[in-house]
Amino acid sequence: MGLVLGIDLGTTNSCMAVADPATGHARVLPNREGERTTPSVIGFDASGKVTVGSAARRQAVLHPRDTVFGVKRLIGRRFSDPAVQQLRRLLPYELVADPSGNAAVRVHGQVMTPSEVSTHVLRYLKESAEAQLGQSVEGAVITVPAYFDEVQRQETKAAGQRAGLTVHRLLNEPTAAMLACRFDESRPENIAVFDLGGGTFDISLLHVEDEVVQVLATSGDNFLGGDNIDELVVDALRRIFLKQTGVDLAHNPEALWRLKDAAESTKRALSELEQTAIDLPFLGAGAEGPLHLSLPSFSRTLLENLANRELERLRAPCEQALQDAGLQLEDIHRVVLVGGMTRMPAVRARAEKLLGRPGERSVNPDEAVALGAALEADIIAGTSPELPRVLLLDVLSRSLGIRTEGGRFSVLIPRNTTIPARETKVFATTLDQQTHVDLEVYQGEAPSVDGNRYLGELQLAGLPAAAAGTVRVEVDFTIDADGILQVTAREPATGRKAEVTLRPPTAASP
Amino acid sequence: MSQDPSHDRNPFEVLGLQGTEDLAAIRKAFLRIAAQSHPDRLRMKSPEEKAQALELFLGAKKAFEVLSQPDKRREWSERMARTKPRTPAAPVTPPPEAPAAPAPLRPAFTPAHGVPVAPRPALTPVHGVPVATPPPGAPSGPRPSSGVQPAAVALQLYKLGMVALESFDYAKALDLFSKAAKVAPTPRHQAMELVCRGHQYLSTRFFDRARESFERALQLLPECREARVGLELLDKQSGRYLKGR
Repeated sequence: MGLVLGIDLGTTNSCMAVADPATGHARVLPNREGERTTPSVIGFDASGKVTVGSAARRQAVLHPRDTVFGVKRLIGRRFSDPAVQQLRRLLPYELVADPSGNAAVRVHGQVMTPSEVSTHVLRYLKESAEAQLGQSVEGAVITVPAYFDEVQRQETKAAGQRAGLTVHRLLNEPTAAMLACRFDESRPENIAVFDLGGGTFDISLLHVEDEVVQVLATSGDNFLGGDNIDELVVDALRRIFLKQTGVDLAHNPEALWRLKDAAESTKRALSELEQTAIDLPFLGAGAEGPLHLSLPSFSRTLLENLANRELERLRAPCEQALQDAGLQLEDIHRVVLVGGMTRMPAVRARAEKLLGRPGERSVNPDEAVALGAALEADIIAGTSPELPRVLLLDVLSRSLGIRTEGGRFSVLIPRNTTIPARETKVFATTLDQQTHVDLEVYQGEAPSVDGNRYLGELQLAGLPAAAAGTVRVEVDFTIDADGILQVTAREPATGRKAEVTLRPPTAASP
Repeated sequence: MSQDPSHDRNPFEVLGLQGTEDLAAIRKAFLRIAAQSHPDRLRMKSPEEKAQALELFLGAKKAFEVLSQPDKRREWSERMARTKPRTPAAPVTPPPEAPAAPAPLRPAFTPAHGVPVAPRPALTPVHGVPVATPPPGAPSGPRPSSGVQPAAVALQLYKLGMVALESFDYAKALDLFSKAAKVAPTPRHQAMELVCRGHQYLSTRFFDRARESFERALQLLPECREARVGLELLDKQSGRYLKGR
């Protein structure tokens, strides 16, 4: 059996780590270029050659339309999603709808799903690791935002499988970060993990006791991260340029890339400095020659004012998670900050305000998730000789249920239920002489199914024909530790049964 | 209690507890069982062992959920307080009261996926109540034969309840006192029922509800010593709890 990696497949940066079977410690594996994190940027050239990471990023300004980044925000999403539409206006590459209506990218006339694009990053990481370790890599534990729904998880898993990896488990990012940070085992503690990365925000509340890590509640926002701040800065810079020169850069992908780069480095610089300068020569061309953007001072206050509204969105998930976990602010013993965005002073201040405690930065915010994934890989895939000590009890992040009469969503397994889990509920037929039922499985929190995510369906036929409401059907949802949902419908009187497994484990799972 | 033990087993029993533990101890017990039975811990074991362990895990998880979530716990203790074996198959989650008549149902049309003509039948939730539910007050379980005086039965139940209370088995005591109160609704019986309920709330740190129960017991029966003891205990525990935070 080959090695099992821990991979943090991030929106802007990815990172991989491996656990040492002898000591049980995890270490980060650098990529082929020697970097500990790999930009999640993929460049496609006309001949079909694919470059990944910094190499692709460096060429992005030259080939803005052929360089794809931030696909994690598109994975498993509908093209018609307003968030996708909004993103579409800002991206230099082309966003289209694939035949089934999901968001996809088109490069050189070829349509690729976000999952296929992510495959390139995973393959690059896998090959880097193999070259470095001189061993074949058999599988991986890949991390996903805790607030990803089942479709997004499935797509991520598919990306791993296409890259030739057995995906042993998809681990929630905050939980992974938790595993990587040292904790005191002598007394029970409640820990909040505040994970604000490039594209997603997650908040998880965990209870650690002895060697068991129990996730109490998790919440988040899949469209909130450093990229949002960058986009706001890009937009601000674009407006400034428009005002100064009268030239709009909105349809100039090269300029947008340079603005994006400048926005990101400005944001990073302002985590340390009070103010910085932006100088972008030859950004555009007017009637009487080249035009430059030069801002002698861009202050932290200005950035914070721009970011304020986005950062306000951190509040609702935090409050939701606290409420779901049944905790008060006083019950939280530690706050761990993960994700590059938590370097921003305004974010740290907000985390402290929302969670009642200053955040610890005992872990490297860029690497903690990958390290935790590597440790979990060791736990699940069993590369160490002795049994692992830590046990992780994770939760389902969004409610699961079925469609009932009138398009209402009837929840079987509520969110934040510890998995594995099993729930049974009895339903009755709606029509007279109804001989079959269609069970449509949805995930989400909206009271009607229209607001929720459709996952799949199964049919139970051959019901005894009778008046409406007299035939009962038992619906049973079972989720195993890998998060695979099995739905069974049974008619108790005749014993007829239908079952379906959603998110089938297509790879050889252990 | 015979048909489906996992549903109606006392959650404290499932977790191997007495029934007086606080939330921290309940959680500890659950985590201990989880650490032994979680699938991740059993990757070397045979499928049968895994399946068995999963049942254990799910049972413990359910018990923990019942005891740790206020609404589920209340539901459970109310169910315990009523005659025990009445609804053997009712799952824990749905609300216990079934709607009297499931409202005039209109056929549910769902977006047709290729069956354009026939309306796709959907489902109506029924709240987990099996078809043949015995009427609410129906006698079930062992009942004293008609020849015995109700007062004597109540006294017997009351005595048993006191024994259970002394051994801190509040769930059992609550059950016995509530039966006694049903047979002979004296203030004494009713007050003791409330005291037991108060203790149950206290054991899961629902201090305000516990206080309410004890105080109502005192209103019913001002000389009730057990309620006073309960209130004192409550003051002590809530003080310590608040200080501990």
